[in-house]
Amino acid sequence: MTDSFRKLGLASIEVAVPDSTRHGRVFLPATQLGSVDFGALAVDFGHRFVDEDDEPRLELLTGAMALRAISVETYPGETSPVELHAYVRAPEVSTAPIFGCVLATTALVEHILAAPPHLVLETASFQVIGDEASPASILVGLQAWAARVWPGAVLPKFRLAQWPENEASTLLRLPRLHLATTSMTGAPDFLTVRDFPTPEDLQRL
Amino acid sequence: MVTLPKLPPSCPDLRSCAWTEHGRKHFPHRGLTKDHTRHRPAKYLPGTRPEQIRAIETATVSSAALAPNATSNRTEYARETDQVIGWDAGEDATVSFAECSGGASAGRAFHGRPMTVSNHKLRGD
Repeated sequence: MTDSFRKLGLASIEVAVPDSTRHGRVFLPATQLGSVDFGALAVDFGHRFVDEDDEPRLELLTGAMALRAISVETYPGETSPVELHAYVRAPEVSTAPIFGCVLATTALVEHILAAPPHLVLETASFQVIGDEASPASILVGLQAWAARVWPGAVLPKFRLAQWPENEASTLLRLPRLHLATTSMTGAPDFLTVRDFPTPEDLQRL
Repeated sequence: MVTLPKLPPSCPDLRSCAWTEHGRKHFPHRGLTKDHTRHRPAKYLPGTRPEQIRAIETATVSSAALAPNATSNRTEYARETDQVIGWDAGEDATVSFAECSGGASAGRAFHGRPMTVSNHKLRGD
């Protein structure tokens, strides 16, 4: 349990997928820790670690994880507390982006835990990254995700690309900048009167 | 006379199922395009708010439309919405699919996702 989770009254338990070296954390309110059926939790965790629809995508990701380096793009969600959706870009495997996982901050975990069934599972498509979403925590989170889902594998180097530049420019619809050749405010380009006081003059006043 | 299989009770009312965000895996994100869903997971259309997602999925599990793969501990529902609600495998998705499961280590919960009519789950493969 990390300090921040203890402060919030959250507990985390490390759980292994039965008959596998894959693993992850289960988050729950600390008050429920005493009533947890660990056997049932492990079985539940095993069933939910990979959704049936995710199997073909995980095969593609397994191919990507065998490369020396991969790019990962992260996109913020539309809801607060914000999550990040991480996609692997590996042209050797697919021309389309391959969804990796949702990266969640502590605030999001706390938000999800507030509603039934008061349980958050760190599955193959969900990774908790801690209190802050910074380039460093995102990178560490992605490495932790890959190590949990492909344990024992020699993992590629992750190149992080937050807000892919080509897509960000179309999303934000920023006006194109044109350098103004004339003054935009009507102010003169330079002062014609040169005897203005210097900062030293002003300090002496 | 056809004998119907014994089906589990309906969700969410009869089994007190709760809606979950399912880790927001199917939530839209900024910059989302159809191409992002080519390998799945399916995503709701950009701008779809959590309360709208909840309403869509609750309506689906409240409908009696049972998808072919339902089992005793997991119940699946599919509902044609007659409008594009998201993208699935890079295609427009008009079907709302939801599944309700759990109950072993915590309460039962349901979540859903947009689905194309061509999805194998709707054929019972």
